[in-house]
Amino acid sequence: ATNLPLLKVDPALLQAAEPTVQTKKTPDPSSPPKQPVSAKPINTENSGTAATVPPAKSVQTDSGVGQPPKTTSPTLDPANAPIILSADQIKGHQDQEVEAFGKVEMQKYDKTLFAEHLTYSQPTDELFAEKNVRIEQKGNIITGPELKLKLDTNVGYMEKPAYELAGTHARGTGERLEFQGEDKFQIKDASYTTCPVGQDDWFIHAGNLDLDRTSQIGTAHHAYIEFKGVPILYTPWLEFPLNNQRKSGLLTPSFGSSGNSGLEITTPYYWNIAPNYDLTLSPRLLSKRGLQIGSDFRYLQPTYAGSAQFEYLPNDRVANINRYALNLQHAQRFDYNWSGSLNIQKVSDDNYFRDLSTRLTNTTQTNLPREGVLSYNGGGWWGFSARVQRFQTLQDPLAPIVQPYHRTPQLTLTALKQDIYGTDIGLTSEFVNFNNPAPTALQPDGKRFTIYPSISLPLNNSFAYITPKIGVHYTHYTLDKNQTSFPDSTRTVPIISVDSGMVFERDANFLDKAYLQTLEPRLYYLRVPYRDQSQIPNFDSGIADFNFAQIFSENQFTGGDRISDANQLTTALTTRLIEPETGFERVRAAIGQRFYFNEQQVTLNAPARNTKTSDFLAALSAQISSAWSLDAGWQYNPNQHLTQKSSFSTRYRPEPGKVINMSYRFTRDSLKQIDLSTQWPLSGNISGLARLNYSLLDSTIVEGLAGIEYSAGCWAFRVVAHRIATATAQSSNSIFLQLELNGVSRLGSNPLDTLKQNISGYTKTNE
Amino acid sequence: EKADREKTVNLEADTVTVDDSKQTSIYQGKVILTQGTLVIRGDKLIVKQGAEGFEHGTVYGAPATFKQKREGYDEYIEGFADRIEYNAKADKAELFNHARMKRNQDEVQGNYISYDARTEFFQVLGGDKDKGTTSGGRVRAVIQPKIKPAASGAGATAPAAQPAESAGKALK
Amino acid sequence: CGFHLRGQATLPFETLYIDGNRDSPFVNELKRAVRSGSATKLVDNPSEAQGIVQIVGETRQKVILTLSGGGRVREYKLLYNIAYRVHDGKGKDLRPQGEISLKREVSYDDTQLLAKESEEALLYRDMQSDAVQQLFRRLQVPKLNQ
Repeated sequence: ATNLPLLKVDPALLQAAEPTVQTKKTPDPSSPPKQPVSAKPINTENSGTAATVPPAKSVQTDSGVGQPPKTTSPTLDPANAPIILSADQIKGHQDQEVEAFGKVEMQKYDKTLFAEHLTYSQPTDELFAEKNVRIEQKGNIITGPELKLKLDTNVGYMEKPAYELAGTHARGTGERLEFQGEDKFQIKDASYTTCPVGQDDWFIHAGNLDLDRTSQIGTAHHAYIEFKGVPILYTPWLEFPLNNQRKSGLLTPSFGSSGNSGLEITTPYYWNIAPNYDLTLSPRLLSKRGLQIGSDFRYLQPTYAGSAQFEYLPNDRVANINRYALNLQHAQRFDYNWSGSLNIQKVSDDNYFRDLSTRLTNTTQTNLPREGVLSYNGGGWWGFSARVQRFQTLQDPLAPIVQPYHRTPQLTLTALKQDIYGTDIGLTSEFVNFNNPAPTALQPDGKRFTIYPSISLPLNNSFAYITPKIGVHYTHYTLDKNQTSFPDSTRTVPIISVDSGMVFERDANFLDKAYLQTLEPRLYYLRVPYRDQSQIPNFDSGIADFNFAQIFSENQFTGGDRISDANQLTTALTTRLIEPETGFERVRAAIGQRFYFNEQQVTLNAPARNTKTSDFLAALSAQISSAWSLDAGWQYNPNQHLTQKSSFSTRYRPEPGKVINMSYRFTRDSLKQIDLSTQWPLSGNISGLARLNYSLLDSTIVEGLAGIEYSAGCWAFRVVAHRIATATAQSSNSIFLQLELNGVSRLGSNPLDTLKQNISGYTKTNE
Repeated sequence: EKADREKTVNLEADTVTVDDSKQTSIYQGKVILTQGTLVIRGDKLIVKQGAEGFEHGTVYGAPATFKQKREGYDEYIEGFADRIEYNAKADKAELFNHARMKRNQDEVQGNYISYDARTEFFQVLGGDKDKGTTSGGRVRAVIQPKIKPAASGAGATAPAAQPAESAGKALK
Repeated sequence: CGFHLRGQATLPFETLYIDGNRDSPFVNELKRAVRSGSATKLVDNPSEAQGIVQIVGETRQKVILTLSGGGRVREYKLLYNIAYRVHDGKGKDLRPQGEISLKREVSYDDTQLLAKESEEALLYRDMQSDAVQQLFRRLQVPKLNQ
């Protein structure tokens, strides 16, 4: 599956990041770095940042040749640390060698060694041990019949080693282990597994296994994986992480099949160029189409970060064209005030995603943005930004859509100055040059200049507030005359509003737990005189959903081309249950309705409202306990006595690995779906995974998933069947088979993204 | 060091009793024997004379101590034990019970230590030498890594020690 | 029924420093809330502050909520998450490290891309003010070790 994620870097988040790369999976043990630059790809599975900054190498000081030993305490300098021996018998020659016999125990700095017989040569600082030798260093334990080691350089060998690594307790054996300096081993004819002793379910056998504990990377050459005694995969070269940090560039091949591309095999190669740069190349062989090369280059610097993904499929045998996809994300902070970002996505043809991707976030994309933003932050109270935005529209022949306007450029200036003699003065201004790829009379090219100054007087105390606000919204249009009959026009409309509310509190009990309950009535009056806007084209306006955010806004329409006339009073009542000791809001319930005092005159491709009151709104959200959460919403039309919109969803998640989600969503004449999803242990270490998103309106399965996950502690096996509607009466089914060897590799097609998307709250059982 | 052999022996003690027939003399009370760089101290010292003079000494103490400069090095070997038997002719010392031998930061401890100053060969046993047991107690050694002189191998003025390759023999 | 008017909001800090990304509207709105809603003084230098509110992370995410029978997106779920730490500048946390996660739903139609973009902005601003109020209320709780 191509991994062309929809990745959005929000420049507002950009902050001079620490130069460390935030590794994806593990929480950062030290305190989280301040606001890292979050160039966060949505598809974290195989393109998460994986470069790890190697910890400072332990200082290997050479205390100088011929100088007398420094008087500093030897323990400070590892090379000069004393060797402490204990045994049944010791003999030797001064300054020559020391030989110890009988349950010998040797300790030097962080190395501890046990053996039956040991000889240490002082001039060469080399020791030789035999008969059940065991050496421990930094938690790594290596045992064997015979060991030779130069202590200062940590170079030497251990015959027929058996080893266990610190941290993950990965273990294995080999013919011979070469010590190659601090924390680096190479094992010949090695075996490696993360399974605990006694559970020999799988091994990686390698002609040559390099373990580098500083970069925490293991590399196996001429390796094959043996699972339950059966060799299942040979690979000349396999890299895997030695610590729990999931090096997301796991480099084992994954394979699957899909209707339109046939059998496919992807073998990603991860190249950790530098701590802040990495590159993942994923050649992908599609049986019906040919070889596709995917590349994902990511970079993170203190002042800029981003990623560039490029996929290329030369002469697709089915479509007989060269096909490619590009996704460039970049965010940069130039200096204290200036920052910018790029979000450029392009594909070679409209069906690119439908044919080559099973990732939901791709197949549902119809407009690929190509935009650059430059913004200036003027000390927090004002800001300026310039943006150029174009789209590539991927037409579905079955359902062609109107292409959106390109904004080339869009300049915005916003400011909000508070406490100017008790008032707040705000300004939003914008200049946009709208360019229609396919201009029509109703949708011509045009330039729009808007300026909307406003002044408000916030009067508040601890239990009540009243905020009158008045502003003048001025807009001027200059249109392309030979495209449309609409004249150039200006629209000036005053907007007057008074927002007021009170807060009552009391102590209350709910499910025998003490809470602070609030009761918050709110009244919002809005007066906007009617302005004829029938001669104004519609560049970016639309009808906003009716919800608790919208009922308190100044305009029923979004965008800047329609300003709804208004003489209305919006009323709402909110109550919250707040945990007194933490201040956490556990339950919130709200009801609201709007009362209109005159007819609606400004409309936008919908009939005017002919009722005196708006729909009735109710909403409830509750996080009663750590396991139970519940959300419900209801929009009722009192005039026609019917429900316009309703939604109910609940989640029960007592612990990781157990979750049940249920939800019902209804929107009159457009949507009626139930959605059930669960991950629940069935028996022993098998857990069931299921999801059903069923549209009652079209009585079809919109999305379905069924699977089981068997976890045996150090490995897990997943079988997942997934079905998703891709077009009218069309759906794509795919089967995922995946064997995950903990900490090493995942074989087969990777369902983890699909699982996370389908079962919210899903956690891997072998985590 | 070897030169001690030619130096005169002087002894201090509270009392001394001489037994001419066995050619031995017993010194008691804060006994100090010095001969060149060799210094032996203890509560009781039995000295045996031979043709060339001081031949053998057995010193008891809590602990008895023995100190001698190394041949060709500006370093001193020090020994401590309940009983030390020093063979002057062969320049060998044997330390019995709670034996400890030190040179700079290097140190060995055990129930019995034998040290041949000529070959600089030492042996530390955990057992009780008097009772002839070799195993039983544990022995310890602390070795300060040598700062490798530019030339490899032992110092330029290696004492007439056994040739170094004997040490190498054990290093396959 | 026991309701009484809410009393004056008091933060258990005379001076407070808000340590966050200065471009983020959330940080600016939080500063406004503290200035207008309490007697606590905002300082620019962390060493002078009795308490430091560190905005550890502010993330926005857009997730597909509902698909139509034809596989087109019908509704998106917008997620807004603030992770914060309240500490004394010397490494001691004065509050359990917390998170505020909010979500809103927005209907979607491919033909109204630009309109939906500004509607999303409206919903994110609404979540942002909601998060400011919730964090402001959490700050009013007496200090951990009181």
